[in-house]
Amino acid sequence: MSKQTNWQTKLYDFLSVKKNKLIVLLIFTASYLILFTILAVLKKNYEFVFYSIFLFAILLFVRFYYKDLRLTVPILVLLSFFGALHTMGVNIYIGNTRLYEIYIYPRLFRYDNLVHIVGSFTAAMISFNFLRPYIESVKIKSKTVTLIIIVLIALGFGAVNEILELGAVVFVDAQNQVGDYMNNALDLCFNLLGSTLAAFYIRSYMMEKKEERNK
Amino acid sequence: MKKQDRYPFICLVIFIAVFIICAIKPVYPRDHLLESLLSIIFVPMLVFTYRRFRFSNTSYTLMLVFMIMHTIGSHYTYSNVVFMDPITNFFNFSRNHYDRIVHFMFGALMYYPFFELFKNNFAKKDKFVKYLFPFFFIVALGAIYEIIEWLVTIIVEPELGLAYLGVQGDIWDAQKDMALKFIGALITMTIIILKNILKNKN
Repeated sequence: MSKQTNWQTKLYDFLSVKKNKLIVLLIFTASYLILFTILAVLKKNYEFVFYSIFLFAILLFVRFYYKDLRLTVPILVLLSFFGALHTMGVNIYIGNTRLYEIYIYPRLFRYDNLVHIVGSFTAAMISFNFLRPYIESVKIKSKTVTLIIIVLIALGFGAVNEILELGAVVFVDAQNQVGDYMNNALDLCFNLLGSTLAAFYIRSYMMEKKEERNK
Repeated sequence: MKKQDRYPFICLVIFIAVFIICAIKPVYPRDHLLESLLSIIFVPMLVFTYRRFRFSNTSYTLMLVFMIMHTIGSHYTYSNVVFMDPITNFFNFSRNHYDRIVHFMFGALMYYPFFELFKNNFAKKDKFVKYLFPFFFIVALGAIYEIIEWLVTIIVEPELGLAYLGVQGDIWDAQKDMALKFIGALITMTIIILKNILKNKN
């Protein structure tokens, strides 16, 4: 009886919407990564080839450890969306200008800034998912402190990305692709903005309300 | 005073003494004031939260060493620390690297207190949270420091900002500073992980 139940559970799990969604997401992510890597090689854009190795490693890591990493379907969708935005930004040109350098709002807001906001938003959601099991049992009861920690960890993810950009400059001489001091400062600011937006989202929709807890 | 409170108190007294000595005739008084903001915010925060977040004596020692290094840097202004001159001349460096050393030491020395903070308050058993979150925390604090540096440059006073920044003509200065914190934290994290593996084996 229990064998049959296990078999049925496995079949249900295989056919379940969640699993199908994940397979579609995996195929979608791998396809755009492969496509844009081939494009980058043809265009001799070695900065992106350097990045794509890193992105493929992340994809494989997520594929095998998404349950341990407590990554839910919405977060995986966000991650894949962020990856698509990034790869498009590097490889798509409008006229002679790379999508990353295009201004969405003249003189103020570039496509690059949008990618940083989405990226740090995603990082904050991942951090929250990690800390979620401990939030109720920890000594720190303040939601504000928890949210500040989530914002900082997301900012840390973003800063590691900036360090990788420095790595790209040092190892593959991508000096013209990754920007300078000013660009780095703006990137960090938009990372902070993205993670703060995520904190507001988490506070509004994902954290248990006081009234709910008291019930 | 309880016996367990004695060591943190001694650390505090040592730091206050160093802070007062370094506040006497700093090389650039306005720069010194700006750079001392970290100590003025961080140390009272540790004092006020002492009952809630009591760190180990090792953590207090590491924090003390870092804060003393920072206070010395603020006395001379990072780009003019005289102790570094012989090294700068000997290796024929184009700039004073004291700031780089302090950035590295921030990662190396401050990782352990943050590790303790996460271990004791969030997850004792979750390795990701315990080891990696303090690591990202350190890098994030480095990023916030770089944002503040940049804002000081463009808003407060552009001339003073450049001295405060210690960019010293390097457009990759912010990334290098963050990378040093990253490497410092990575080294300490590796040491702690190895130490725990050995401890578990024994």
